[in-house]
Amino acid sequence: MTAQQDSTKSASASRPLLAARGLTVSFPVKTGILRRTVASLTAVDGVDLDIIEGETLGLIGESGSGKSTLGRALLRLVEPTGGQVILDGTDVCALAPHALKPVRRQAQLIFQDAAGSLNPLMTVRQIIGAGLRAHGARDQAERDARVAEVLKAVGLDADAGRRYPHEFSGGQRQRIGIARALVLRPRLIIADEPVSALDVSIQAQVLKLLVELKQEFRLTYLFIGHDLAVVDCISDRVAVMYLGKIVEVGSAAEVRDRPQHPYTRALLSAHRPPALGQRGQRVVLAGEPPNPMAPPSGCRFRTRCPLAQDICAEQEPLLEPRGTGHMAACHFSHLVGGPAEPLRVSL
Amino acid sequence: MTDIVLDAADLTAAPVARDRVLGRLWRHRSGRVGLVLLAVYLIVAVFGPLMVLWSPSSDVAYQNLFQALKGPSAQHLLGTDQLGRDEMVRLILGARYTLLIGVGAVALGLVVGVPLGAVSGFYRGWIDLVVQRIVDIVLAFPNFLLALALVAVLGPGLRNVIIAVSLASFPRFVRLVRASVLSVRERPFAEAARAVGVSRAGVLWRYVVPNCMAPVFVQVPLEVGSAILTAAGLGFLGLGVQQPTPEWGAMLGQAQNYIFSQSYLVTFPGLCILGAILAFNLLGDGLRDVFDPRVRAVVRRPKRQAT
Amino acid sequence: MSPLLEIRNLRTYFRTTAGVYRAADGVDLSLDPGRTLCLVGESGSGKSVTALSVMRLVGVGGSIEPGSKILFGGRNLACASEAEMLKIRGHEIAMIFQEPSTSLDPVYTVGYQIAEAVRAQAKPGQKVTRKAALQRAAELMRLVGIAEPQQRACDYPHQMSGGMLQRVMIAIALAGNPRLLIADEPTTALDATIQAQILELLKELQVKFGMAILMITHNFGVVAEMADDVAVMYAGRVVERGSAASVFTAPQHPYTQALLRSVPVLGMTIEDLHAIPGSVPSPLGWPAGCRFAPRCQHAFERCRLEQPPLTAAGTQESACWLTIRSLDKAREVQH
Repeated sequence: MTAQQDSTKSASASRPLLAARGLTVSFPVKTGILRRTVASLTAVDGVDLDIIEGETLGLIGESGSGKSTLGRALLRLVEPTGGQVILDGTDVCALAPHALKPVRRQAQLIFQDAAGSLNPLMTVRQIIGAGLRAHGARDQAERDARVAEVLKAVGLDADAGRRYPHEFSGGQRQRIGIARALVLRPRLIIADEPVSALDVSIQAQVLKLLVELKQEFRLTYLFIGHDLAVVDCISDRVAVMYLGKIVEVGSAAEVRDRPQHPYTRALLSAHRPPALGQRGQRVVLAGEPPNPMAPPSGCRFRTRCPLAQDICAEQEPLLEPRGTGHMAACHFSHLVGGPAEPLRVSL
Repeated sequence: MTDIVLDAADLTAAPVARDRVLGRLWRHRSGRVGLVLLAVYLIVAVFGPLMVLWSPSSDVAYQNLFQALKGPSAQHLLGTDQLGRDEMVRLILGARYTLLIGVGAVALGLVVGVPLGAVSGFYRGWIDLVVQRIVDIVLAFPNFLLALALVAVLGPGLRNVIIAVSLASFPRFVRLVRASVLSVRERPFAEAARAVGVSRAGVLWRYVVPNCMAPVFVQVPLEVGSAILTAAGLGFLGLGVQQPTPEWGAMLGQAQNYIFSQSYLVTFPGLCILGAILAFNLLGDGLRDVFDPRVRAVVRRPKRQAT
Repeated sequence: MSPLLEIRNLRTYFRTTAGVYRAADGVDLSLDPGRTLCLVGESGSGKSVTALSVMRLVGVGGSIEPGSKILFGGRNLACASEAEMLKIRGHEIAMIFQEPSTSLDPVYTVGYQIAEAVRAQAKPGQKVTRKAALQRAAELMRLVGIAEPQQRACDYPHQMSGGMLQRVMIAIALAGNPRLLIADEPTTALDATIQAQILELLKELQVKFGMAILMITHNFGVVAEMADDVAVMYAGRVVERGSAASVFTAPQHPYTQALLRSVPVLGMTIEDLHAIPGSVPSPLGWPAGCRFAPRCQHAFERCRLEQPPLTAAGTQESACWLTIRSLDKAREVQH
């Protein structure tokens, strides 16, 4: 706990390594022979996000929240339709496509589907070396040496370089994915649900590896996940996403102990530690997540929110400060209360 | 149900390494027959002409009308044709043409079709539209008529036959590769390659296309079989390789007049063509099963259920 | 109270070209009527295969080995004929699966599919009209918490969300009023907030219908929520079983202990997490002796030679030589 608190303090003093302002990603929905755009799906809607150098920022959201799209948009693997992404002073969104290569050196991605992210027809050495090749390392021996170095760093022996992805287990494949992200010595690594597809006993191994590597290589992480327990234990700060918008952001301890948004409260309740016999304290959300192509007016969460009032339909709440470094987008943050308290609904 | 249960790392679909393809093909029933038959044809095509140098019929210009239309005998194992040439020797000599046309046409079709399909499926947009419409047009014509029309325009001869026949196979490869590319380009490893800085073109040719080739490999032998048939048809009509060069289709065509009298002149070339097509089709069947990941976890049913 | 379902020495093997895949290799379980047993394990533990074996839905190439006993309602399901199993499936034992979207036929409406289950469960001789079946289907949909059931009955699976589809699956399962519901990771594919809803629903329905639930999961949160009893599986066998309370508070088997310490829980830091070294062995070649020994920090000589049997240790049972050794020592001391 202390280590996390320390890093949060020093982290907030530094400038952001990556800053997103008004980032929007919309996908047109086309139908008919003439492929006319009938609607658009806004997966990421005007997101502002800061990632401080040296921290691990956790991004939590459920399916349909847009968290994976956000992660990819920050790297321009998915084209943003609006907004800016400023990485170390340069607006990534404004760059011409061919000028993106240097950006790739700085920021890398770890995938959820480790097996799918490795080309089945290439050896591990070729897969990891591909990045080096793309950035001009022509000498085969030099590439091999770098590859052997990162393989060792992730706990695989150098011999693994000769083998093919299908010869490895799930956890090992994810290590290979991590090695690939590391080899270019990036400053920022965006991990898109890196442990979600792994067995429980392997998850802990990979999480600990990520933390070790962060120390050793002085990395900054954006850790995207849907399991609040996992995101919480590895992150310094946490951002909560719902239907394309960030609804709460703050230090991990703050968000966990003093949630300021009813959705965060519901998530905490759904992920509470397995303690037997404590039925009935849970906040169970009513209804289904709304259709992302037609989000509710005002606050998007109001259709499932136990605190919703008329104002929630009329006025969309903006992210506002609710404590040091803690922001939330809700008209009724003060009613949310801590995770153990019953949710007060009277007004 | 089987998919849920047999879900361990050992049994997930692993790409088939090159050295294992041959082994698996050998163990496959039809694949083995196809391989053997094809081997026979290859040996005959390559070494056959050297082995029959002793016979005067190995010279294409040879004629001996005194020996014409003699049935199979000790001297001429498969008989002689209307110009007195040894039928067997001519069949052996003709093997290379048939195989050359079949393989050559398909190779040309591959060289043209695969890149077109890849570019079409990967970049989409107007390239995709244009290529697809061209393919639609070519596919609208019946195979044989198209080949016929082309040879009529270009003139007969080995080279033109290969070109004409390849025209029929390249659209199929375009479609096949395009369909594969459309799905493979969405796979995470393609995105991962872009994430490390590989150019779009690099992703297409080094990552996506190699992973699309399995269905193409399966289709190739089937296309060769089809090409051989078309070539034989052209030869039958006298539009293929010209006489006196022995080509099975042409030999079949010349033997039309002797269908009832010297039927062996029709039977043996026909059997040769049939055998070649059969070999390629069986090979194709075998390859298809070899590349199918689900068939690979072939399970032997136990003799009795639990009691 | 005699158990509703008792599994003894269940072995389900798959014969493949790569070898014999011993998915379930000596599973012992017991479930009382009206209670919930959670079967916990990771991939390769054989938990799904065990569930499928009870329903005799093991796929091509898998066979339940002779000597396996699946005792339900006085019969051994392992040797029941297909005709007998047809009467049991859906009517006495129902099953719901992990991926509701692939378990439903995409070309029929959900109402039709539930009605089909209703008609299939009708007693022989009793004819259920289409209209009556649809009525019952709408009733079932209301029971599982689907709002406006008459309208939703006309929806197709692709029009419904994961949570709704899982409710439909539960409705289908309930159509025959089963005594036992087997749920194979029913909430794994769902969001946490929807998961909470579905688990609440299952608990309500269990009370209402008085059915026993065999739930397969790898998520301890689900276990805490649902389980009366727990059985932990590793490498094809049950390594620990007992009431949920005792297994959680005082796990006896090193694997259970290590697993509980390796799962991130809200409030833990990364230092609190203890990863289990190594990985699960392959079912194609289980190691000799105790299968967890290669990864166990307490392993000693005997562990590598012989497989430990399930032995009573306190209020639960554990398959571990450590437990047996300390029990023996305690007995010696007593003499």
